[in-house]
Amino acid sequence: MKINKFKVHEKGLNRFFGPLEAKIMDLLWEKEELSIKSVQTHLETDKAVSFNTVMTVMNRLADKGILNKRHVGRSFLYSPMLSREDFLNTQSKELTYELMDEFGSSVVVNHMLDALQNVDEGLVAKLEQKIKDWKKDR
Amino acid sequence: MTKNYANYLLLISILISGSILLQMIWYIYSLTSNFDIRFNLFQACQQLFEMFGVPFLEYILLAFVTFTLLHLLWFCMIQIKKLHNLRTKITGLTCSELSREWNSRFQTNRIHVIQCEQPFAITVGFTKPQIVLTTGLWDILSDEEIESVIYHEFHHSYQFDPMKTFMMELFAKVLWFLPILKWLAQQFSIVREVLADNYAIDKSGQRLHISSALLKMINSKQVQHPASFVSFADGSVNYRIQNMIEPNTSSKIKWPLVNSAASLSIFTLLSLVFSKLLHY
Repeated sequence: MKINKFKVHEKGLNRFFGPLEAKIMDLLWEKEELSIKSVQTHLETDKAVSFNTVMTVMNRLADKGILNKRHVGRSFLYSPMLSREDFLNTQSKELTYELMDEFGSSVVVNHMLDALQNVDEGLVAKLEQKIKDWKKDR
Repeated sequence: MTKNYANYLLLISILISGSILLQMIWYIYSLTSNFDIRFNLFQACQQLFEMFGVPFLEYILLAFVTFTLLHLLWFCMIQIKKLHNLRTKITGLTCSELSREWNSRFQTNRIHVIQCEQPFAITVGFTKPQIVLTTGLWDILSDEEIESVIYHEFHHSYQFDPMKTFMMELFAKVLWFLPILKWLAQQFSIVREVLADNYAIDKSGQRLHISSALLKMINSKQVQHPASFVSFADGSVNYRIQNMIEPNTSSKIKWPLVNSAASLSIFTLLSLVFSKLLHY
């Protein structure tokens, strides 16, 4: 599951979803499992929305692996793959990982630490000893 | 290692790259405007190829010069776009409370603390470089250690190091046929880090905090750079540790004989071509 475009200036769910997607996800996290029809009915109490629009958005979320789609009788029931908390945690990690990736590939950046893989273990041990000595002398 | 040494490295890199790039631009200009210029290595090469009757080499030369100049523009454009994306993300992810607290401690507005488990400290930007710290640093470092890391980054920020690093890396990448530029960029990076450490030591009045911050960051299991992390300063961390243990021994940097020889021979070759033509 990967959100391709993060909207970093938005807060909460709007950071990862469009307005309608966010409403649908909110609803599904609350009710756990719903059909397209019942999602539309719930949404319509707030503002009129067509069945086709809701269906397109929900299928897109299912394609992205955010919703689980289950065949029951003549219709499909949709439920979130992850709980709200797990989802937000995973996406926040993804977002910061993406940021780290950009830090890494940008050259207009000075890093505090470069090339850790080439660190000389002997020198690290010496530094550790030195730090212990400094702490003792304080 | 002194500030002068870093400036010399930067100056040498700018002089070498500048002279080659200017001649390339001059060469393209002369071709497009039919303006005759005498003292240009690339035009000299072109005339030499004509003299020996290998005109197809002229096209290769033209393609090479055009490719190098386009590569230069492309690299700049990509990096400016990346910088813009980074800025947007940094502003969006900033934890306002921590940032406000540390900005007021240092009487500045350059510090941005962002929510992220990985301990990370960088300075980013051309004109007013900003300091970006991740909340992961607060998990492993004490307040004194974080202060020394901020001083380290302040040195980069005040010295416009990101812009200098950008120039050195740009020259090294675009003029890849002069390996000395890569060496200069690597040396510059090492010297800048050591100077920033020294600034932090100077400001906090002791070696302990920055040293233990560096050690903790090295030992932190969480520091895992993504695959695309391209480091330009291989081994710089070893010079920095050496500088912390024994401050006066870290200036022993070996001059790269092979690199210099290769770069020098490319230069000599171009100059020979040029002088032969003048004689002819």
